[in-house]
Amino acid sequence: MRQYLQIYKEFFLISLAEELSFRLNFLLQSLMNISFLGVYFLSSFFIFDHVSLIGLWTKEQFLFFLSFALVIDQIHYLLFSFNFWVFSENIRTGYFDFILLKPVSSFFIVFFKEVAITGILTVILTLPILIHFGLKLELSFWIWLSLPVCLFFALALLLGLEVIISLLNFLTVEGMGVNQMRLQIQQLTRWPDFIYKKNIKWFLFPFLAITSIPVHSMLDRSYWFYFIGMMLGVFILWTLILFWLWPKGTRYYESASS
Amino acid sequence: MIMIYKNFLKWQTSVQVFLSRSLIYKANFLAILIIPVFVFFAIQYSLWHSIYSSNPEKEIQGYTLSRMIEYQFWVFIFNLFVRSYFFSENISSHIRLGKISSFLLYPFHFIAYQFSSFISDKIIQFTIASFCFLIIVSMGLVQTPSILDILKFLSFIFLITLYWFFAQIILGFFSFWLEETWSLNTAVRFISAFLSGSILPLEFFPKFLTDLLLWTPFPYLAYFPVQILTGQGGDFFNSLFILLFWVIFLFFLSIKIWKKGLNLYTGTGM
Repeated sequence: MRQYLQIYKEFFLISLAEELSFRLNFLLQSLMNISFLGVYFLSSFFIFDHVSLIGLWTKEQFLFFLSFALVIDQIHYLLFSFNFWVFSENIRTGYFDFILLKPVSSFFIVFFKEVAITGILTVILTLPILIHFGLKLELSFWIWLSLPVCLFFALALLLGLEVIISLLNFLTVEGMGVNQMRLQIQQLTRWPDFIYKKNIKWFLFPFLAITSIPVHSMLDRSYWFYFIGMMLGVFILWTLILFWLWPKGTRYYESASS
Repeated sequence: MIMIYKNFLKWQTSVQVFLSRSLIYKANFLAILIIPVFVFFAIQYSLWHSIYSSNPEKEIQGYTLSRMIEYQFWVFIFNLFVRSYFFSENISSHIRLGKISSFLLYPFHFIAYQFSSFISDKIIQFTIASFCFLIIVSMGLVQTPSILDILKFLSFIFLITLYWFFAQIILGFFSFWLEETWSLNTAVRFISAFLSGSILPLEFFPKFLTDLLLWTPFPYLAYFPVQILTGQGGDFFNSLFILLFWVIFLFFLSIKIWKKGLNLYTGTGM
């Protein structure tokens, strides 16, 4: 474990050095992230200028949900998003050969190597917004205490589902389509489950659960049962990924360079 | 005459090469082209149903549920026609990796070569979009627009396609100065989608912002053409003229940036 933490520290420092050598890129990526957040918040504000409810939620409840979803997004962007793009590129070019030869887990290198340092700025920007809407909703002490746990499991579920989709990279040559599918999942998680009709909701259940179950649980105690189910589901999902799906996926890998 | 024929052959061959290249990985191409538009539509459709759930007959900023859903259907069709994917990133990688060196010697200009790639993508997009258009109209999901409105819509589509071509190559040409342009491109796409009325009709925006937007190209990139199909189109010729002005502006700007950028080009990788 200590060895992995040390390697992760090196990954982080390398990413930081890379970002600092292209400062204008840092600014442009920040502009991209801020415009992304701006579009979501402004759209919601403009809608709530004309309506008082979306489904059963008030403006504060809806914006609390949206901030929660965007915090997940930004943490995901900071820590994981680049790795998915690099992964499909590594499979396509055959660079994955070298990753398999390294004396640490290939899964760790593939999904933890790249850190998008620019994301720190937007995580810092979105967290106070989440707290602001939480305060407006007068959440209890215990709900505040459970917030990091909810964020962690939401992120773990999102990441797990994305890893499963990205395993398709082992079966395809061009990974852009796979990554597009992944991005569309993120789109779905930014809206509450109740906007969808029942049959669509069941079809999209694992994706909608990412943000909807934790936020519902924080706003309504009767949903805690679902959140416990989600935690169990996340454990099972990650056990499957690490001990079955990932090793099986790597066996499908046909080296492009050899 | 022979010159024109020879030029035509160059264009035809390039478009054919790009078409077959796009269709090699069909599933991949369709995943990039169609899935985002479908997901976007599914979200918008569900969201507006949810907003109007208490009273579908209620009017919000002049929109009843059925009118809003019709607007969203036309935005869906519109996006299928005009959305561009990763085009500026292709140009950007050509510049960063020094691949444009050979184009400086070829008898086919780099911009013309890129335009033929753009045309090939548009041929596929137009085919899919027209097919979806026919399905939606024949199923009665929207009111059938008149032939005249369809022609007006298509003239907008033509200019918007050109607008995005020049906007995308300008973004790609920034690679002469920048290491990466994908973040700039993504920011432009987010902002354009929002300000053009693809996400929300402009009636939902504050009045001062809508007035301000009329001085920019954004409302003409989605809101106006979509309104034509819903039978609410405003001054068609005026809007088309403004859009034409922006297309011509971007055309000259792209040539200026290309010339400036080329002076800085070092031919990395030669």
